[in-house]
Amino acid sequence: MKRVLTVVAPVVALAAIALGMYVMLHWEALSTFPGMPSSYEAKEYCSCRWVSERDDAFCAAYVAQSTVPMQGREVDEQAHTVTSRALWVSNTARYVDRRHGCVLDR
Amino acid sequence: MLTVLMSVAFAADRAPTPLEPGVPWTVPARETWAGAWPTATPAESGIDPAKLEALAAYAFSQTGDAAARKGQRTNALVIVRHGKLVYEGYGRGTTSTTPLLTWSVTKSFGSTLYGAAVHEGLVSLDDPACTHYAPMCRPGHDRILITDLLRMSSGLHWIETYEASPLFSSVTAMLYTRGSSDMAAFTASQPIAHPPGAFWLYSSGDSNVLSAALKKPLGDRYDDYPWTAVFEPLGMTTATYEKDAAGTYVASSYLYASAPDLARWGQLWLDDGTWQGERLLAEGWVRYSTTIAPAFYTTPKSFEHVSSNPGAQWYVNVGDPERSLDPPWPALPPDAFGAAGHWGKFLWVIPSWDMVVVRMGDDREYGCSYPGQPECVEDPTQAFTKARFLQMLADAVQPHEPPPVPEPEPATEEAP
Repeated sequence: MKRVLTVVAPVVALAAIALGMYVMLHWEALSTFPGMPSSYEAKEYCSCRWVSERDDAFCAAYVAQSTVPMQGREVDEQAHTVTSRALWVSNTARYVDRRHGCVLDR
Repeated sequence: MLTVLMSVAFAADRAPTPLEPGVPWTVPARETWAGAWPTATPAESGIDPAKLEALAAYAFSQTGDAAARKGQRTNALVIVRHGKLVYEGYGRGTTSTTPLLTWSVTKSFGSTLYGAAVHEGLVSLDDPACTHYAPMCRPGHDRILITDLLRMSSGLHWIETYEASPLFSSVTAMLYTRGSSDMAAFTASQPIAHPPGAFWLYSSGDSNVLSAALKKPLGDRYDDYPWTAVFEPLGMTTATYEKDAAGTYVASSYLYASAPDLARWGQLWLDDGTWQGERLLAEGWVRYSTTIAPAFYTTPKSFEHVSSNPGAQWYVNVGDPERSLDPPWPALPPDAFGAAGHWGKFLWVIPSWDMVVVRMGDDREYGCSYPGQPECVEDPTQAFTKARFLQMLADAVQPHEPPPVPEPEPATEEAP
């Protein structure tokens, strides 16, 4: 057992250090990435519904993403807002007007 | 002030960018009209009706699994010849008034607004971007000129991938995460990777810096400018142009309009920046935009070179024989130029045929159109294949002279 540990432990430690360095180097991209799928869905669903004037079924199929499981979408038909959730991050897009379409809340 | 003066001094060591008037083709006289597009039959327009029907059947054929978003997914196809609408067809619930997302076709619209602003004398090609947009007033960035941004040769670091590498994509970060509150500022914060004007790199960021750089010269007119300069004169009533959270028009991605309205904008470019005889874009703007970006020739060849022959925010059909690069659309005449966007959005302007073609789709897979194209579908019947579509178009188009324009009725003189 000890012998196995003496071989495995340094390998695990090295891998952890490498991973840590990778995360540090790319922290900006990695830390903000979880907001991407929900922003994409909120913004593009909003424009699909109220700029291109398509129905819910069409727009849901249009924005479907195969890589990340979505955790919900709330559509406020009166206020013309869409809030999507994925990777434990929520983002909202709102329809402004006929000329300027939709924009993400920031 | 000092920074601006310094950038002008830096810019002086670069040769000025010419804006020669005219285009290398003849713009026929056009009839004036208002309201809906005037129409003509294929036979009147020098287009073989049966071959046109075959082209439309190809574009609107549905061979893939719709639920899995496979196969051809054409939303609209519009063909205009000699200034008249010859064909319009719609699919997937689209109508002649549906505002369609154009994705990167928008970039060519962004350049249209510059053509108008240059025509008014508000901006010049050789202005440093810093003159009009403060976040570009940093050492190094202050040497980037408006023409460098238009030709996607700014030298700013950029990674333009979508689904392929979402983690490190600059464009998805700009649209949806780190850059979404201010897309131009996000782009301007990128480091310099190459000397300005020397390296061509497709960058949605460059297009949005350009968009933000119109705010200062236009002032209070910025919000209305897309309408006053282009949409209203052309009668594009279906247009929507979205902004980012900083109020900058998203010139990389977010123009929407119906296919017939997009064809009006194509006609403006076919007619050398004039609309029914009235000049809207600077003289020489169309020629400049459809001249290949000089940096394209000095940038190491990549697969992108095959599909992208960049002018200034437009694609051109010239290739580079010295590097064995074929024109991107071999079925089209060499003077053809076009706008292209993600998932199958195309607008082609074909001066030799006096034609504008708009094909708006939502293709989630692409047919193979050139040798070595990555991740494409071999069978052209199973995915929209640009090369097949354009060959069928070329087969349908016959040589044809524009019909003479009737003399306008003499104005009745008003009684004194």
